[in-house]
Amino acid sequence: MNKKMKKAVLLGVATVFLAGCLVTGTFVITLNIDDFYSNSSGGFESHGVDLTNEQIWKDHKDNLKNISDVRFRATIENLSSDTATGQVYFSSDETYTDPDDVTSANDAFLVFGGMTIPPGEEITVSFAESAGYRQNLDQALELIETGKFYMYVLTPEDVFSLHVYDVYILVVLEAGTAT
Amino acid sequence: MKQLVILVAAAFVLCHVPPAAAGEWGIGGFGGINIPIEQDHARNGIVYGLKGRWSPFWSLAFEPQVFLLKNGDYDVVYDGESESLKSWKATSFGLNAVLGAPARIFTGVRPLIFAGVRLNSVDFDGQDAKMKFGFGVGVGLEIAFDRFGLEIRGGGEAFPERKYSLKNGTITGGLNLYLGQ
Repeated sequence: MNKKMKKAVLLGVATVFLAGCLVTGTFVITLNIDDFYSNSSGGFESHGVDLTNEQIWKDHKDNLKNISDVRFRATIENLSSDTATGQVYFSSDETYTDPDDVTSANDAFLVFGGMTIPPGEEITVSFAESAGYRQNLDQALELIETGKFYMYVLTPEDVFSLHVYDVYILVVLEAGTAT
Repeated sequence: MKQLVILVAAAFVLCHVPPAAAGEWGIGGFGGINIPIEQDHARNGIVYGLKGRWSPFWSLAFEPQVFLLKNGDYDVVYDGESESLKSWKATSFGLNAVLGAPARIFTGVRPLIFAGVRLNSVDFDGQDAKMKFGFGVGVGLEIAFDRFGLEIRGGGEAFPERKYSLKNGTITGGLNLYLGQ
């Protein structure tokens, strides 16, 4: 490609950028959450997700435009003698200590639901598979944009006992890269 | 830059189509690679599509087109392991205005520039597809013969969202068939 042709190609690409007003990019954060137990009778608590300590978030927080995707990866072990249907709720409130409080709260909502775990067994949900369990996505993305939120793992069954480990949250953020 | 402007202007004059050529039309197909720009959740992918071409006058042509742009999967690394995830794709319906690419009259190598608007159906894996307006621009070269032309184009496609836009570069090769007036 000669010099003149290169100039013409650059001109075309530059026009796209200028028409878009701002150069934007997408960035992927993968965050590890500590293992935890979640029980219907005691031991039920929130698990904080803090994106603001992540370097990618720090680098782009001033030009953050949007959160476009959230997924999770985890292994969930069902410690009870009944089949469990795993659910993950997000909330801005970390103080709930009872599953009924979470499901009835105005500021908590179901984000992943429907993972069936036979009694005494465990399942691993991949990032790809988690997309199939997603609900209330727009609401979740809006909450994630604040940088901090709390996660509750429970089941619609009255009695449950879960061990959740190898937990990762994946977030795709859109941010301006121009300074 | 002055030399470039003169070159492009000269090409348009050389490619000038006599009034008798007005209304010439044709069809074409194209395909190539697409290059996501600043997108960690996408890798290089493919783009291919079909288009019509109609030259109402001079060296101006309009191209209604439809194309599929698909990004390559991306890898997420966690705790020493990795998982491959599907990226986004778009089906685009658009209309280009093309300068320098008249219908079958002038044979030889001719440069062209184009710009157009799009109605894109953008599909993020696991989410509902969204219809959004977009646009594209670019440059190209066509080697024109009597009834057909071979072309190569390079350009950019923008997929605006509410507060940002995804942008992809494209490099395509194509075949145009001129069907007459």
